[in-house]
Amino acid sequence: MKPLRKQGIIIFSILALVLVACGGATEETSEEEVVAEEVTEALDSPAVTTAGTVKTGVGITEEACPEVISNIPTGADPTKGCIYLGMLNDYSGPFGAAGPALDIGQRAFWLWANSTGGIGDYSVAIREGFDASYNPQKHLEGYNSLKDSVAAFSMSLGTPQTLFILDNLNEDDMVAVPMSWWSGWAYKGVDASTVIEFGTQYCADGMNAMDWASANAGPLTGGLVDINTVGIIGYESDYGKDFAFGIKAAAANAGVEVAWEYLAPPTEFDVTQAVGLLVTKPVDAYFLATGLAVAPQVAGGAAQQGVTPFAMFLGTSYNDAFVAEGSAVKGLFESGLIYAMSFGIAPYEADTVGHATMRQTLGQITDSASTFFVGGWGSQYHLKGVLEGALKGGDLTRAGIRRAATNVTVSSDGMMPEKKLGSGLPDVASTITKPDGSVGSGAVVVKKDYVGPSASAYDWSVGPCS
Amino acid sequence: MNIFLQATFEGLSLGAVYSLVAIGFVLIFRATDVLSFAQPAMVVVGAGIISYFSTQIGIPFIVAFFLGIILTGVLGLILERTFLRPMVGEPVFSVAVLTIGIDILLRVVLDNWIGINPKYMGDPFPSYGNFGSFNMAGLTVKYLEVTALITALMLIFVLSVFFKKSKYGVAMRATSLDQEAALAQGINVGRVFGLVWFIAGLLAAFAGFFITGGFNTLTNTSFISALRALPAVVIGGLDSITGAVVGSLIIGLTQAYVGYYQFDIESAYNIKLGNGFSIVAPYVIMFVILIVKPDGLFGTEEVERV
Repeated sequence: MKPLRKQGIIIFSILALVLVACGGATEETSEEEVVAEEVTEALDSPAVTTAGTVKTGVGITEEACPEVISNIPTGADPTKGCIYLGMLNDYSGPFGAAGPALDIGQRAFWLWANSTGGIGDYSVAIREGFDASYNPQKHLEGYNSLKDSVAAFSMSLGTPQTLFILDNLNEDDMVAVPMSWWSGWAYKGVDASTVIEFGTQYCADGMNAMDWASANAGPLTGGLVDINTVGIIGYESDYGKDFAFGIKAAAANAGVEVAWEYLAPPTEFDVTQAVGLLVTKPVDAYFLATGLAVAPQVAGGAAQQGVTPFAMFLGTSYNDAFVAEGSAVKGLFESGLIYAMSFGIAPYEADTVGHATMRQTLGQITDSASTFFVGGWGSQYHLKGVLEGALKGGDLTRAGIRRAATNVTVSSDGMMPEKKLGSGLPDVASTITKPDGSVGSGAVVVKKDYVGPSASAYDWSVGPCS
Repeated sequence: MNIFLQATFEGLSLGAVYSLVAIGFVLIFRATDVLSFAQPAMVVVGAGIISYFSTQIGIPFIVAFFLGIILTGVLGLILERTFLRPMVGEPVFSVAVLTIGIDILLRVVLDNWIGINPKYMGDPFPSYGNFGSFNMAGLTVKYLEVTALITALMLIFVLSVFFKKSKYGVAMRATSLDQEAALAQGINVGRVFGLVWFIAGLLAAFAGFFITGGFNTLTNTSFISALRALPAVVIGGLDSITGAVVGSLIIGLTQAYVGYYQFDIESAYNIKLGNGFSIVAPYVIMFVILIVKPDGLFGTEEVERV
């Protein structure tokens, strides 16, 4: 290649890069609707739109949403504009199998929400999900590829992954719903109100598991179990550490001794060691926060050696496969000695208006009662509340949406307790379930919205548990 | 004393299962000079096939089990004929990298099938006795583990007879010593390579079942258990079947003893080895042995002129 031509190509490439870099940040456009009256109420005001001017920005169009995205109807009103959301999901990798159900749950939610009025003059549609494969770098790639065409993210799956894009969310005035229940999401100091948390966080689940077990293990086992000593088994991860912190805090409150704690990284977790601890250092109860792979091995391995203490599993450690027909551990999990915290939200069959609406809508799409459908659906309630709050404030730009996320009370038709976002107070009410293969989700609710004395008394203003 | 015996029995059972994977590593290495990184994937694929036939197709477990074993062996044969055979004569490093590719390929397909829910093998072991175990002189013996131990011993015995007495066994030994000389003696070296991969596949499927059977379940992290056979073959020596068995037992026993005694040792000596140390401990032993005997305990010492 001739030097001159080569130089030309290099200069052209540099210019192209500079142009791309400069053009990356799309300016927020502002479109005004009919001006009628001034904003007189705060964002957190009654459900009436008081603002006459509605500013809109990136990711919002006056054209209607597509009728179908990802083979699921959007339910969009063809006479309304469209608020587009992005989705950072996993369709491959360790949580790849959960991705489709999370995806469908969210789309089903907006199908219902659009059919019942949408967000003011807009319907809401989630663009095709990006497969981040539980990889922070790919997560960031997905974020960058979608950020200029969406007003917010309906999901950012995983705590480490969401932490990885936190600075970008902050710089872009973008809000995202995390598909994880790390205790840090409740604090402005951590996420600068860019993360719209939902569901019970792992730390409060730990406190409530300990308190509930202390109070109920005796009556439930006919007085056979009196909890004085406990053990903790889990992954050294956001959920394992959060859960362990909660258990230890509640144990200290209740005067219960934590005899041992085994938290190891997922790749170094040794079932033999966990079972060895249960066998050689017996405890009255143990609390487990691992993935699905090792949970039945630990419980089953201890049972084989005649050790079946009372046990409480975090939602990450339990699913319906354990009690399905043919499962090797079905009898053990249905023995009445093992209980599970819900996966952020009460399971599929729970008796709330929100659950009933979800079942009715999802029933048209799937016959599964998977926990992940519930997570997908329930995760959108708070985002809907934030969008409604922003609409009330007359500002549907990303900055307006973010501002709403700092000061709006959101509800979820009873699926979760009402919550004021940005208050620094996390959801601390847990749902405690009992494994039962006769229902689709594999778990029946024993106690919903349980807040034990430890979670009630704990000073949540101090920040994340781990 | 009971705890020591319990740990010993569990360590021996673990080691026996690891030895099945390790022997596969050694067989392929001896025949082709290549350390096949696809072996852990073969282990989980074997388990996957058994689970598929047993729990999804619904055929009796024992039929599914043997079908899974045979099909995994055939898969090994197919992999050798399609991917490895064209690489004969290529640098060993290239072939080793190719086996990493095969490992990834197999696991991606399998992981997509496994999904988020653990897969069961459909075996009857958990229904025997007390959740699949019985008590013998104060020792808890698990049906699955004792079966694993007996099966591994039987397979090792059968293999040793095969290598010494059978025509193909002798051909495999000859090929492992010198491929060109074996060719000159009329041995079909290509067929021997195929047979080696077939046997390694059979052994991997046996190990796969015992790793994922009972409560253990097959998940997308199950292959990590199979990976623990790698330090076993390094400890024993890459080209020694005896070394693979001894190395596997060392790994199994180390893992079990550390698992049962780590907390007591930490308390007694006021030290902290860290959670997960039982998984790391075999690698520590591997490093120590490599420093003392770089070719492993039973490996052939090699001197290369540079």
